[in-house]
Amino acid sequence: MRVVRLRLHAFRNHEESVIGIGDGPVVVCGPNGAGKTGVLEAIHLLATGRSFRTSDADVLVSTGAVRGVVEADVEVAGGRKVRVGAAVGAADAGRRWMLNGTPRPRHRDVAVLRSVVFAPDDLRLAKGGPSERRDYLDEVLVSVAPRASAIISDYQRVLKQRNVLLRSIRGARGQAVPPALDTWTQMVADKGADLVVERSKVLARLAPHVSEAVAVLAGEDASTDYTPAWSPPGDEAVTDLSETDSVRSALATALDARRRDEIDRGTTLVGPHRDDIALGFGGRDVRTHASQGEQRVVSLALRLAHLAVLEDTTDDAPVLLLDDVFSELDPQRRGRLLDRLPRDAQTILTTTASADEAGVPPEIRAALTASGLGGTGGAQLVRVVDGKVLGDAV
Amino acid sequence: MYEGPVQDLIDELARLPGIGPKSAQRLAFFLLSAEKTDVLRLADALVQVKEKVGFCSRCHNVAAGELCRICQNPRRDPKVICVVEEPRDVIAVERTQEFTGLYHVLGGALSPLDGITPERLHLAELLDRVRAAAVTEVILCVNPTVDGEATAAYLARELAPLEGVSVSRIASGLPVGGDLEYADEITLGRALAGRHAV
Repeated sequence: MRVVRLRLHAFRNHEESVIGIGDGPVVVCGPNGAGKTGVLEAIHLLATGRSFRTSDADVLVSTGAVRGVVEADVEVAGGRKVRVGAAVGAADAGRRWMLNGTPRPRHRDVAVLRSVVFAPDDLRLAKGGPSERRDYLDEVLVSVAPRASAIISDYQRVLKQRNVLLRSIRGARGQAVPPALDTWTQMVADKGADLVVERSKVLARLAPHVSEAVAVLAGEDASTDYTPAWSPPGDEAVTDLSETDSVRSALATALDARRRDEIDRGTTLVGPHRDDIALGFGGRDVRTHASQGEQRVVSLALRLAHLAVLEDTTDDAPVLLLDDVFSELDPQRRGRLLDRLPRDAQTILTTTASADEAGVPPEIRAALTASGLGGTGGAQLVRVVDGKVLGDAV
Repeated sequence: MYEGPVQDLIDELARLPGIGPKSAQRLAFFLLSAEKTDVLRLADALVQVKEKVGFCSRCHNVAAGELCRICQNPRRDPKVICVVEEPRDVIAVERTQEFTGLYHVLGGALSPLDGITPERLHLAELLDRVRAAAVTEVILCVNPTVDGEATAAYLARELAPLEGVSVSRIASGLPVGGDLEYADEITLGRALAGRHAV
């Protein structure tokens, strides 16, 4: 799928910007604070219903405006064109969605567009704590299997219920443990097993794409392993995480073994809410033993893998949004990245690189030429200055 | 703020579920302008419901006497018990006209977050009933939520040692007569996961 036209009205610092988009990749360039990322944010908002930069609706709307509007004409597989739109307003005005000019109550009803974004902040996927990687995995999971959102929310509910119960037991020290604890423990094992299995399955689909991307970008081996933070006592770690029954019984045994601990601490210590993905780069642990540049490559590879898996699932390549992706890659890796960009997915990237007299950042021109990217339509350069769009083809 | 009694009425109405301050005000002014006999009939109904209606001593459904109408009916099969969360679920199952056994109303579902422990539900009474009468089947007709599922799991565990009692839980899936394309992906996903051979 491709975005062929994008309109931003009173959105971030764009008063009124309209971008017509051709066949090739789009390079959005301009100085800091010009409104480049706002272009990506608008597309991602239409695709996911959320901003990747903020949860505060107020900052999306231009200062002085009551309501901001973003609108995209999307060409989906088969050549059909659809117009999706969103109006964002101050908190109480809420968000409104439009499909071909008709208002729709929920984002779900207008979710035609799909996109994957890589932003500088994504370094946290490699560098941050386990929750960053769990959230990434859950995000991928929901995007390829909508049913998973129920699995995730069920597990969160069970966990909350059990933790409240454990806290109340801790408060009433010395009394008998209520029989309901066994039930909630069983529920953690049941719902937890569903979640572990879904996560490990989706990670197995992501893994080859991550390895491939890291090999292309950095010429190194990469590994991605789902790492449960729990294990049944005595036994070696659970090896087959794709079998619901065995994961459930392993979880149940592990929960049983730490029951005393959990009662003492008043919280659930065993379950997928503490799991992690172990990321390896050239045989080293990414989080502790990789350079920042290497961490960035791995984070980027995780996003590219999401794109590949989404494409497999939907048979229509999502839009790839790369925000300031060049800033921390050396020239060689920049070239390799442009080389590796999916040919069938529309790519829109931003850069602060300074432009030559024709308005094209030299390394981008060089890289684009070298990679032969752009197909018949050629790459398109969009210059953004002070929330205004000045377009030009490369 | 309105004159004393009017404001009192608005405040009382606003305590009802689903009634916000605006609706409460509308209802209050409707009652103010309505015929006195109509309003007294409503007031009388409110008093009667608290004075005459209680809960069935056997199944905890709403009842006008000691036992509810269903428990009093000799044609109902006492060997089968359908366990539901709330009295309104009894009405829902009754509307199917598929069930001829008796009910047991738990009065909610397990939820530590809301302080609902097994002792707060009519669980012990159910176990007593099953033990005392020759019950052969217990159908757990609880909501397809995490809390409902936990309640079913708890009951299944408690009922397991009793011999000669089969325990089952209702299936969840698609509404009949609805088009697949209108089903939400979670319900349809669950229905797919729970498919059976034909």
